[in-house]
Amino acid sequence: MTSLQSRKERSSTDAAPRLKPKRNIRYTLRKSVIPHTLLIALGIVFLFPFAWLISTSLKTPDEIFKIPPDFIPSEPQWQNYTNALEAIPFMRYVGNTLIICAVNIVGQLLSAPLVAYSIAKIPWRGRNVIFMIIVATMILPPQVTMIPVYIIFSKLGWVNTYLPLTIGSFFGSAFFIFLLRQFFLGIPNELSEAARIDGANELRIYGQIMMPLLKPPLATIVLFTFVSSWTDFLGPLIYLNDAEKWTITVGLQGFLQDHGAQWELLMAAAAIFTIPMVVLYFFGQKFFMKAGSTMTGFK
Amino acid sequence: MSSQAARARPAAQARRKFTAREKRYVLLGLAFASPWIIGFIAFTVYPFFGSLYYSFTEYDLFQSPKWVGLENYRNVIHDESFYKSLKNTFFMAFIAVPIGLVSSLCIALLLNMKVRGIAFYRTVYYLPAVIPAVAGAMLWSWLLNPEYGLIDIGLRALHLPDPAWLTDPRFTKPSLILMGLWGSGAGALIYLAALHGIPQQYYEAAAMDGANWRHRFMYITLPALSPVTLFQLIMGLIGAFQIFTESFILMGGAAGGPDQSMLFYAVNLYQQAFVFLKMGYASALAWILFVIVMLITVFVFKTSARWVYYGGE
Amino acid sequence: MTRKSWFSVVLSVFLLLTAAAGCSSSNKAPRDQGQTQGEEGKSEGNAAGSGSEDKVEISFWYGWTGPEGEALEKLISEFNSSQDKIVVKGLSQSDYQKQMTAITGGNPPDIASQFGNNVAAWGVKGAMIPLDDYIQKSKVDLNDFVASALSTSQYDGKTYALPLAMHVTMLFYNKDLLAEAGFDGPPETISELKAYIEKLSVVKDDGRLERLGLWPGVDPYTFTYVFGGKFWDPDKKEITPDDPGFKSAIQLSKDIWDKYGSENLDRFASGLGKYMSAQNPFFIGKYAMTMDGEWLPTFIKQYAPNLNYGIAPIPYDDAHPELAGAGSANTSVLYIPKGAKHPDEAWEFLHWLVAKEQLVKFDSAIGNLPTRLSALDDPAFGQVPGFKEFLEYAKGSNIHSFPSLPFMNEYMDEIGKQYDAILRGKVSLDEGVNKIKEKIQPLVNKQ
Repeated sequence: MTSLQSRKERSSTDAAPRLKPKRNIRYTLRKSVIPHTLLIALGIVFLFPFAWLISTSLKTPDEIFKIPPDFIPSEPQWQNYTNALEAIPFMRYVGNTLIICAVNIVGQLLSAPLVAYSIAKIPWRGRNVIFMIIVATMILPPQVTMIPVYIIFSKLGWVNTYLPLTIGSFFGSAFFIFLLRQFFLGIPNELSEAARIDGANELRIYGQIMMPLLKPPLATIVLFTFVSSWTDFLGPLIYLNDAEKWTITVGLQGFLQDHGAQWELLMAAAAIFTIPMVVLYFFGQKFFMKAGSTMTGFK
Repeated sequence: MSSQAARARPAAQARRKFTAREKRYVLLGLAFASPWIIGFIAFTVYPFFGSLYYSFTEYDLFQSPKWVGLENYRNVIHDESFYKSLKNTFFMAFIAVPIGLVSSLCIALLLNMKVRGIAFYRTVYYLPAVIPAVAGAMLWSWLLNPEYGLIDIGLRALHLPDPAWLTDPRFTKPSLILMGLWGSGAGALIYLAALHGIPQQYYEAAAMDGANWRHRFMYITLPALSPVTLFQLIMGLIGAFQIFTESFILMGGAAGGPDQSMLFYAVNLYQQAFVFLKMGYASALAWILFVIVMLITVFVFKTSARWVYYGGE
Repeated sequence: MTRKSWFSVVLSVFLLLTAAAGCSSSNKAPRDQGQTQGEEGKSEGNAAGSGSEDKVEISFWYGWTGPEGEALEKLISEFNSSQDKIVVKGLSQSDYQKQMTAITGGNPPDIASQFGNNVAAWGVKGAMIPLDDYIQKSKVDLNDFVASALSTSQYDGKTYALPLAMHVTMLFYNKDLLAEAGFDGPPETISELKAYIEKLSVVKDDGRLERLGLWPGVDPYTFTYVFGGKFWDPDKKEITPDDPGFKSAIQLSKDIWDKYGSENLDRFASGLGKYMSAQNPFFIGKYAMTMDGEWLPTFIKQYAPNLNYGIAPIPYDDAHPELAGAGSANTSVLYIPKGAKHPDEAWEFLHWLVAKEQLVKFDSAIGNLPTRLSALDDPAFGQVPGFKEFLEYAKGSNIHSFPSLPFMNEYMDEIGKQYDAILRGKVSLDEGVNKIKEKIQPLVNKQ
């Protein structure tokens, strides 16, 4: 109904200045048919690898090596998925990764807003210096600090534990602090000033007045922290030696090395690994996009 | 800087200005910022200078670091792997990154068309960018299989050459570019946001002056997007020096692939540090990386004055 | 006011501390959980769960995977139920490098497996606990070990590990494919080998490879011994990549390589199946011949029982028939990493595992060569396919191991890189070997 209506509206406004019907056809061609064709064609290109992933994950080994390939498996092999889950301790890896994700989310939520509040809402000397340094650290290549950090953790005996992969989040990530600071700047100062005059201490202003306003950016942080912990590869690769402690990324890499040619299992495993990302993306699309635009707001 | 400035002021004035209230704010501010400050000192400042120190030592984590002066840097200069990794990385930085930018811009322009259902297309184009690198690399190693991979099957059907993507050293990096193009929806969204920010009046004024679409693109769209291009360019260049996971997964470990064609800077550094345990040598590599990245960033910023236009608000 | 502000400062610091504490405690929880889960799993398995509290749990990382790993797990559970003091927790981990980072990180396993040619490098670094005191205390008879196998786990008069299995390479050939090409036996000399490869390789009409006689990039080490070459001059303390034998070995590979070209070989390689599977290129006839170790017949029995194959000595150089029966050998060893939490218990398990009975069980299950003289003619090996051929071959005088050198990792890595570059024509043979020398000799001088 609504689409019909809008089409009617559109065509009437479009047609209004141009009365010749012939012109109208060319106009629709230029304004609707060509763009849609282009968009659909490119959309197919972008979606096809996904379709191929799913298709392969449901095939039998014989079908995989068939030329020319069939796009739709003759009989979907759902057991590929259960086999993939059993071929490696998949659920254990998922569990390990979820623990790391959860701790990192808690860490970022505790620290990043505190720091952002300090540099955005507390009028103190030096906050701009701190802000500049925070921005500068965002372009520091991580390799420069990677080795001494590894040495510190190894001296502490923390290698092969989850501590090196989580402790950092309790100090706040520069990107999130930046994101939250921009958000804080949008909150009128009168709010906190009024509370200060009423004698509220800073922690109360922060906890009771600011935090409730922060829900959208905090949701973004939860989402981003989850995604980055879920997909981190180098960190677990360097720090986790014991295969039982592996996260899903390192586990998948091991799977690839041990089951190289079993593409149906590999694709099933990759699909299971990817699904949470896709689901999160569909539900949290606006957070992804907002964070992207905040980033570029900084010039 | 600011504390120096404060000290430079006449003492009396400073005392008058530095009220108890202000002192309290400094303490409060520091307290609230303390998580980051502690982390910054422990995980950035100390390691930053730490790796400079280690770069002058020989250290394998067993014996204590041994001072060797400039030896690590001398060895880097004579190390073929270093040049190979630098060449491969530069290829990605100066060829793959611009290609990615152009493709992002094209997709953004497509998505900027005023047609129905654009939100749906936007979702579709961004989707590949949410695929974790590990899964993406697994998927592409299958797509690029020269016998049974979809891409070569397609190319053969069209009677086009069907390269052995991941085992032929000439095609390994183009494979990465292909994967990058698939994920260029992320950059496209950033461009798209910027496109929405271009005031419509500019186009209207230009149309009144009789500018065709090419003029409008060259003289309005591109300049208006230039700050975003600068941002994406710098992020892309820095990102090129971090390429690791894709190479590691596609090549089955940090070996660098056929003819070392996938030995990127970060891969080589990882190999030296965590496979050969040459922490000193790897630290030297890290510092050289730091200098190179800084030089590139400064260079891009300097030249950007010529092609980046900041519109006044 | 001031008191209030101080209060908030203290509070925020407190907040920070709890954050840090929360971090470490929430981290510990899953780890403990993981351990108890592991123990539960174990106790279910061997029904000895009641006394598990006073038991010492030791972790054992080994490089065997798949069916080989299962054979080892069987022995582990046998050990666990044989006594009630120690519980061994096995973990299959094929990436040996992880052991090194675990050792430097201070959280190593209590016992681990390695390749013998890594022992010198790791032992000198201090990554392995010398076993000499234990050996003396437990009165292990080192004379019962095959001398060449034992020597790989010793360096500078210290024993850092004990060998569990030894490996040697021979030539495998597909009898059906050879017969098809008109050969009634395997190639005996290098010139025959070349002729065989040429005839056995199948190039399709479009110029692409369908089958290869022998993969040319196989390994430069075995052929080096064929040509009487060496990698290390112990008198001059010099590495010898410019040794004529090594150069001839590379030249041989290069001759075969150039016949088909990098592009063709790369394409062919990328279509090949996984080694440890029914898709192994030798099992499905993509390779007519291959050079491989004594474990391969056991794999064939498992993955390709119908394959009609033969095992033959590595072909010898026509000019040097006296060097016939050449091959490169390696060992799998067990060691106790530095920083192991329970070295005494680890030794007890290690000692048990290399005892004749267990060693025979394990090696016969996976078709490896035993490292104890008293085990060599154990009847258990009678049913192991290919065992006799390999055992005979391993006794030959022209079987060599890559020298035990502290910088062996870097050396072999560089050989691999330059070998690849030479085959691809990126550098000439002489340039390549000079580059190896330039890069590695400084490491020798540093020792």
